[in-house]
Amino acid sequence: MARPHIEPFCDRDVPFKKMTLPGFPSGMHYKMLSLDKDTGACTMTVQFDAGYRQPPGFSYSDIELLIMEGGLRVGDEMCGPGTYFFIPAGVALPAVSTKTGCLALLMYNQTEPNFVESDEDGDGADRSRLIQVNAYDDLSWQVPTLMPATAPGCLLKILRWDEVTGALSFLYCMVPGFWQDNISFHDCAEEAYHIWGTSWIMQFGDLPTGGYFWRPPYINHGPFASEHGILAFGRTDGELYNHFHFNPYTTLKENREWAAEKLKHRKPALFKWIVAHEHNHLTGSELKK
Amino acid sequence: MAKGKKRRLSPAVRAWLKKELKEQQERYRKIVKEMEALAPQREKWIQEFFQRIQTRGFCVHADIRRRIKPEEIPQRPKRKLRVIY
Ligand SMILES: [Fe+2]
Repeated sequence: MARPHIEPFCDRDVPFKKMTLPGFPSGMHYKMLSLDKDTGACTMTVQFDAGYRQPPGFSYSDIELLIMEGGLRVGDEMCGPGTYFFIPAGVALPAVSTKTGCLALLMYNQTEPNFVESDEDGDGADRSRLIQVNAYDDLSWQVPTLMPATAPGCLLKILRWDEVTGALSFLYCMVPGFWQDNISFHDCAEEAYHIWGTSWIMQFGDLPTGGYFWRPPYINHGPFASEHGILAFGRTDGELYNHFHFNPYTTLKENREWAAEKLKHRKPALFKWIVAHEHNHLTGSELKK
Repeated sequence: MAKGKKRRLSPAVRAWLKKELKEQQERYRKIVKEMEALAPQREKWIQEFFQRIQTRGFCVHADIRRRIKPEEIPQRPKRKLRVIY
């Protein structure tokens, strides 16, 4: 995913813009948070005005949607704050509307935002991958089970885990007084949006309510702290592993080399196989779902 | 559905993407400037971090911590510290 490093950015600093892309009904406004220059995939804060009505239809892209304020009627169902949708490409939603308005995070994962009016799913749509859950009401906070894990007081609600890529979508919170004294980086891109609250990261300073980042792989971040706590939405585009260290001066290249070196020690058999003459040009075609 | 499959984008969609990408470049440049302005403050935060990991400890995993020895504290390289890539 070719998105630049956007960090920190606060959507409260910019006004909403009218959505003018063809196919979208009127009454939809957005703030662009990050955009992939190659594919048009993007993450936006979206305001659906009171009275907004969208006919049944689908997108050519997988979509993720998190309702933050207000609500949306989706078919016969009223969906309030905390409702998360993962809508696979081609899966048609019933009519969507809102009487009182709705503030949401909206993500298009493979293409620019697009909408095709349709009562039926598109060809080959995989409805079995559709997720709809109210994360506030129906999921519990979990202590992260990653090794190594974040400091006590950072909790997760897992919304989606991609069984092929290991990509995660989740809510996370930091309790008031949270602190974590290490520097982290990952082998995957990481994205987050603050639904509420302010946290601090040594490289980037404070990230307030409405704060956002899209952080490509291997970029140092941390230590972390939050005086009053936060509630946030996060995503990765691959398996989340915390490379913790305490050298704030390392470069992206050094971090990548260190991660590769770690693989050698932690998964020696795999590392050996990858670097073996006949396997050092993996194309992915070897991986059959 | 071949998600994200190549579709012919209309001129209106292409124009929208071009405008959005231009605005994103401006946002990126603004962030780079703001983060450069934060450099003196960040240097203080780094020194405070070095103090804390020698006393309270470096977070190894969850609430497992290790006190870092003075000789383990990294030396600042001559190059400029880059935080935005
Ligand atoms: Fe992270």
